[in-house]
Amino acid sequence: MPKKKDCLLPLLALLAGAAHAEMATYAIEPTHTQVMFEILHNNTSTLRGRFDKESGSVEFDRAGRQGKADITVDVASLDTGLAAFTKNLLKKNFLDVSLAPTARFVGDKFVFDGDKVSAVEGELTLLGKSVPVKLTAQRFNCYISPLIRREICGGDFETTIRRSDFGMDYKVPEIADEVHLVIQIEAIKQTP
Amino acid sequence: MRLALAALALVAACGSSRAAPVAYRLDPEATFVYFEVLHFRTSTLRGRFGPLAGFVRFDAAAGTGEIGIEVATGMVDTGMQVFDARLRQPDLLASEGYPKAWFVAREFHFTNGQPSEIRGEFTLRGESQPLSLVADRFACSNNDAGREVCGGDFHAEFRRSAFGMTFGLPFVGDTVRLRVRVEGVRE
Repeated sequence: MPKKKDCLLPLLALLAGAAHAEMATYAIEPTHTQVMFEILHNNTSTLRGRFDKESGSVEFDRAGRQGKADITVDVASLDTGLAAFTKNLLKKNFLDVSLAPTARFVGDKFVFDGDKVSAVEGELTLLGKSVPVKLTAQRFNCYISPLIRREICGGDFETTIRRSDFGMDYKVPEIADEVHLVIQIEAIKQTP
Repeated sequence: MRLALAALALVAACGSSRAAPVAYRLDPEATFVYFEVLHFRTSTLRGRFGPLAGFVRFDAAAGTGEIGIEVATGMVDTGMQVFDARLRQPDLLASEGYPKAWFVAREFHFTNGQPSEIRGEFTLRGESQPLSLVADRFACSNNDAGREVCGGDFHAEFRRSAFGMTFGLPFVGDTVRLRVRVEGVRE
């Protein structure tokens, strides 16, 4: 019969291994993933636009408190609710979609508060320029979907960027420089 | 005597102009309603109604005002056509039976001369309930054409079950948060 302490080390090694092994791939669930921007119009009201097509995946290890997110936004999927205005935003002065058809966020530092993600730090590439950004979680949760019986993790994230940092400085400051990004994301665990 | 009369006339004119409510036509390009509802207590589902038409009249000095906004519920836009079609069904927005929703209000509260809260009645699916729009910001300025534009951001909350929309509870939250963007051009 082995002594207690003889069991402890292998047990710890096993647990550490298990925690490492929990790094799992989650695929973006497009119907519950959306990037919206908000910009103050004439210091009066908030103008909003939405990008309808996002793709990407998240590597996530809740026990090991680490992760990596790689999300690509189809810039041409912009929708403000005003067709002419949307078209104008996609032109050279603003999003210049013909030059930069995608925007990409790569987040490799997951910050945790307990077992919940409280922020993701990484780099946002827009108009070909990469700038460090920190997405702050307003909420985060994982649940088992009753429909597909798989784990889904997601939340609401937000950050404020300055469009001039990406070279989009047309009519700053007459048109606000600060852009608030509001991000909804849910992702489905790919391995059981 | 003449001077006194002129002064009186001036006072009366200024007084009346201050007491008279100023009317604004809502600018559809800057008037939208967005809704937010929590999905599986995890992430926020959003949708949009707009551009919208309507009118506002208010008199900050007298503390009075009136607003009317009409929303064709069939224009719901979440960015996913399948979702939109589901939302228009009879157990949710019931857009066929009740094509219009309204917000009508005659109770304006002012803080520092600006609307801070608008209390009125929200009608959805033929059901009317009290609703309060709270201002997040409000400002007036002149546009390029020299006309006064007033507007701001407001928010409101209601329970969809109070309007008979119980589908998807509790996985999709009961609390619906509205974010209202509004700008009006002085008539």
